[in-house]
This record gives sequence, C-alpha cells and structure tokens, in this order.
Amino acid sequence: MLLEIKDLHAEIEGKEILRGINLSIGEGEVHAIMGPNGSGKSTLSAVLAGHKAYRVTSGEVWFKGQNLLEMAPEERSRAGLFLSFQYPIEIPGVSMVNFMRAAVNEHRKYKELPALSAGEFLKLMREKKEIVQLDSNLTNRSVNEGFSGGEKKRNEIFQMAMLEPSLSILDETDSGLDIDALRIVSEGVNKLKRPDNSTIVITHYQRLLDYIVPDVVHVLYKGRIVRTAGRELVAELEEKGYDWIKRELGE
Amino acid sequence: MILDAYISLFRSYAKDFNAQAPEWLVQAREASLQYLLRHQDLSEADAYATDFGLNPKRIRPQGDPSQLFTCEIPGITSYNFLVLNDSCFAQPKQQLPEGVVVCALSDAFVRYPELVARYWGKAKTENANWHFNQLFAQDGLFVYLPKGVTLDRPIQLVNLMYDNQPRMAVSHNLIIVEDDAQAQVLVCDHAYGESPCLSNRYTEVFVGRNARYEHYKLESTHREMTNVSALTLCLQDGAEVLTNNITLHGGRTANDVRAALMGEGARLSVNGLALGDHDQSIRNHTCITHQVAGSVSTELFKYLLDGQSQGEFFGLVKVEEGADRTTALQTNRNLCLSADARMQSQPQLEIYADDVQCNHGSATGQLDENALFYMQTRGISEKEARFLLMSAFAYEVLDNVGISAVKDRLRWMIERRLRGEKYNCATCSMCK
Ligand SMILES: Nc1ncnc2c1ncn2[C@@H]1O[C@H](COP(=O)(O)OP(=O)(O)OP(=O)(O)O)[C@@H](O)[C@H]1O
Ligand SMILES: [Mg+2]
Repeated sequence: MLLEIKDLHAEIEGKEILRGINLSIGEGEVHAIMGPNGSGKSTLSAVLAGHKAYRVTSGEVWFKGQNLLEMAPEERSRAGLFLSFQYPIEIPGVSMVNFMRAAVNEHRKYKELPALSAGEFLKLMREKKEIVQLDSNLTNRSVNEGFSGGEKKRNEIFQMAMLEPSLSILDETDSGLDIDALRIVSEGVNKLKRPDNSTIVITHYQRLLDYIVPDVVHVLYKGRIVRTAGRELVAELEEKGYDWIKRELGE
Repeated sequence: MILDAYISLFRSYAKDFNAQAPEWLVQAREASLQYLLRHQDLSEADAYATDFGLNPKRIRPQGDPSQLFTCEIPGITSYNFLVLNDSCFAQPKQQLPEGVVVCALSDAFVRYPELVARYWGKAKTENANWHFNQLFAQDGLFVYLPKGVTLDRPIQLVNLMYDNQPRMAVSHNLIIVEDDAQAQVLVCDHAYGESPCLSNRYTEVFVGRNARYEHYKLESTHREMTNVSALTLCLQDGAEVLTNNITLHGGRTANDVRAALMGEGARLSVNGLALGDHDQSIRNHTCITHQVAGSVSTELFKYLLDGQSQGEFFGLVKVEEGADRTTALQTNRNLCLSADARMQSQPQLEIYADDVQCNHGSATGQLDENALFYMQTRGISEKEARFLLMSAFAYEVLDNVGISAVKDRLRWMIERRLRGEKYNCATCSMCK
C-alpha cells in the first residue's frame, strides 16, 4: 500500500472534524473523494499534508511504510506527497522562480542529487510549464500574487509537475477553471501519471472525473467515509445528489 | 545633568576645539553652550551618561588610516573617504571633475570659508543633537557640486569608530548640490573594538533646482555602539532626492531624517530598513515638510525584529499652508519574529493646505503561517521558508536603491544577516 489511513480522528479548535477515516490507496490508483460541503475533505488533505492547526486525536497514517503523522510537512513532501490546495496561498515578494528552485533543490538534496544549475533549472521550468500551458509571465511574478482563480489552479499542477510526487491530492482543482483550462489541466495531470504514482481527486462534479478517471470513488460525510464504490457512483451522485445516502444513513 | 561633564570638557579645551573653527562658528558654539545648559532634548540621552573620551587636540592615529579600513563594494568604483572617529581622511585616488570639491570639512573651513558659512546650519533643526554636534564637531566631509555637474561615480564615506576605550565621535558633513547637478553618496557606518562608543553625526544637504541627490546609509556596527545620525535636506524647485537608511547590525541606532520641500515640483523618497535582534534598539524619525505647492514625498520604512529588539518609527508629514496639490505617502511595515520583539509606530499627518493627496499606513505583524505551510508542503524547510519570507519583506526596501552594485551587495549582506551567517565587506581588513 502507498497510503494507509486507519481510524483517523482530527480536530480543529476543539471541534472534531475527522471522525474515523479508513482509506487505503495502492500504487497507480486514482481515488475520487466526493461529499457535501463541510464534510471534511479539505481537512483530510490538510491533516495529510501536516498542517499544524489540526490536531490528530487518534488513528494512524502510513505512507510508503513511514509513519506520516510523525513527519514535518516538508518531509512529507520530499517523501513524495503533494497537495494541490483548494485555495492556494499568495506569497507577495517571493518569486515563483526562487520558490520553485528552493523546492526542487530540497527534493534533490533528499534524493542525494546535486542542486540544479540555473540553466538546468530554467530548462526544467520551461518543460513543465508546457504540460499545463502555464503563461510564462506567471512564473516571473510572486507566488500566486494577483493570479486569477484559474491561474492559481494551473500553477498548482505546474508545481506538481515540477516535483513529480508519488501521491497527489488534488483538492477541487477543477473549481475556478474554465472549460478549456479544465481539459488542459486534466490532460496535464494525466501526462504526469505513471504506473507507480497515485492520485486522490477531491471534487464535486463529474466533469473532472471524465478526464481523470477514478478507480475507486468515496463519499465523505461528516468526517467519515460512508460509501465506497466504483466509478459508476459518480454518475449516480451527479444525478441524485447526496440525499439518498443521508437517508440510507438514517438521517 | 547628563551633559555637564561634556560642557565642562568643552570649556577646558575650548581653544583646542575652536582651533580650526572660523570666527562665526566660535560664536555659534557659545550659543550652543547656552542652549545645552537650558535644554537636553537629545536622542539616546542616557547613552551620554557614559564617560566617553573625546579628542579635542585631534591627535591622529599612527600610520595611514586609509589603509586601516577599506569598505569596497564589488562592481563599483567610488570616491572614497574615511572619517575615523572624528577626523576626515580624504584621499580619493581618482581626479574629481572640474569645479567639484570633496574634502575634509576642516580643510573647507580654511579653503572655502564663504561656502561653508553660507550653508552651515541653514537646514538645522533646533535641538540638543544639533547644538551638541555644533559644539564638538571639528571635521567631517565637505562636498560641493557646482551647477550642472554630474558626478560620474558615487562618493563613499566610511564612518569608522575605532578605539579600545569608551569613545565618542562627533562629525559634521556639509553637502551642497547646486542647480542641475547630480550626486550619489553612500555612507557606511562601521565600528571596531568592543568598548562602548557613541557617535553623533550630522549631515546637512542642500539640493538646488532640478538637481538630483541620492543618500544611502548602511550601518553595520556592533552591540556596544550608540549611533546617532541626523540627515537634513533642503530641496529647491524640481529637486529629486532619494534616501535610504539600512540598519543591519548595531546597538542603539537613532536616525533622524528631516526634509524641507521648499521648491515647487520637488520630489522626495525617504526609505529605511531595520533588522534587529538581541537587545538592539533602532529608531527612525522622519519629518517631511511640504512648504510650497505641487511637491511629492513617499516614505517606506520596514522593520524585521527578532530577539528582544525594539524598533521605533516616528514619521511626521507636514503640509504647510499654501502647499496645495501635495502628494505624500507614508508606509511603515513591521514584522516581529519573536514574542519579545517590540515595535512602536507613530505616523502623523498635519495638513494645512487644500487639494492634497496624503496617506499613511502602518502595520505590524508576524510571518504569515499559511505561507510558511504552503512552502513547507513543497518540501522547503521551515527555516528556509522563513528566510524566503523575511528576505522578500526586506528586499522591497532595496527597490529604492539606485546604484545596482550597492543593491546587489546589500542583498548579499541582508541574506547573510537573515541566515545568521557572518559576513564582511569584501576587502574589509577588520571584520575577518
Ligand atoms: N480553522 C477552522 N476553525 C473552525 N472550523 C473549521 C476550521 N477549518 C475547517 N473548519 C470546519 O471543518 C469542517 C470541514 O471543513 P472542510 O474545509 O474540510 O470541508 P470540505 O469538505 O473541504 O468542504 P468544501 O466542499 O466546501 O470544500 C467545516 O464545518 C469547517 O467549517
Ligand atoms: Mg474543501
């Protein structure tokens, strides 16, 4: 297993948000996580990425055999975990180039590879920008500063391309993207697919999953995974919404 | 009273202190004595309580002081001058352009008495700093640029505190940039030794019509240093002035910038960056007076405070009656990196004119936790992420440095400073 989450509970400001998550993801698999607003999808992403505002109260998470919860966020990243933020952060004054160079070189150091030269780095940036057709002007600016909603999402996938993670969590990458951008960015994600890397796609809509086709679909509700099925569940949810699931849960 | 010892010292050595002073200055010093007996509105007043040595007889150090300390910046050549404690050693290797004078103030008293007399004190602010300086300053740098001359390279003035006894140094710079002339001055404050020292340095600058002047001051001294500096500027019609005070290392720093925009269309940009840690204290006080219509001033001051350091920004912008169509923007942004760092910010606007565009903003906060987390999720260590945020914050002030080699050097020094690494000034022979 690439990722194993066992009975994960987490809270923020004393409020329990994740209430016993169990999830296993194997190499090469694509899992979709859907669920109503506020059910805890972004919280799960943040906990996996290591945000310190969230307190894990019980449970375990194993990533490539390592105890993920004991690792600092940067160690998780270097070990191959990537989070595409639902709301990417703006960092005024820090240029995309310096930011990405720092990130790439930290990853290389971890793999005991030498730092890239300025030339090599720029070449790599050019190649990866192609994948999501990221406007060159954007990489000359401060990280996400003044980027449009869609540009920010494109930039997330560009960073994913730069870092080549083994597990990517895409938190509503489709929101904010126009119709063409959605296709370009999804195709970008697909180009980055290798037999050994895995993806968690968090989304509300079928359209993204038409491009990035999931092997397994989960429904997260009130901090628990309440249903797991094949990709046919997507169409069912698209058609019927969540009420029937809530009813089945006795609500 | 704090100054009593110095006042009696002056009285005992009046002959020595006045040895090179022209008659008008001897008289002005009498007035200063009287002022100091009545007022003690000094910056860093309690620092004067230490029994510092002064050098009334201006005993010169042995050897060639200009060999003692060179503060060269890679990539530029400049006209180099050294004020060692209280005495100016002026030996630029290069020939100055026709008509330009750059020399020791003590020489200017003798060689250019009318020029000195015409400008001396015309930009002063009546306070104890000024009078103390007038009383004790025997030397400093004198710069005169006649009409229309552009200086082909910057003037670099190194103020060096050098003693192994408690020592006070008082110096005075007088800079005259006539109409349509252009000059850049870079002042580097350094200190050597471990004993407490205090400097009181005053710089008066007169910028003529459509003249351009840039003034940079970098402080990299030590924790026993109390560095009191005043910069006063008078701007005539269409004059353009840029100043930037950068404090990297020091003990107690008090910078005072006072500018009078006396001419229409004058433009002024006043900037500062302060990096504090340990128990460093850094004050920047500015007072900008718009006296006539249609002038512009902008201010940007930023502080990054760590440890138990204390920062203070006090900025007054005054728009006098009749100074219509004034634009004045003041910004002060501060980051407190530790729980014990303290920042006090006091912007102040006084407007007595119409149709003005004035704005001030001040904010003090911490490093953005969300930005740190975002960077960490990309594999960047917390330490490096903090560095990236801090340097981004600091570098903004460097946008207001007009000499690219100086800007590059400052970036390098700030980077070292923020990473907690040692640095020295290229070929500096002291801070190895
Ligand atoms: N900092 C916080 N303080 C208090 N409550 C929080 C905080 N962060 C998240 N929550 C709460 O946790 C719950 C789960 O939020 P989360 O963002 O994980 O939902 P989500 O499933 O991603 O929703 P969406 O589909 O709208 O993105 C919500 O009720 C939210 O209000
Ligand atoms: Mg969410």
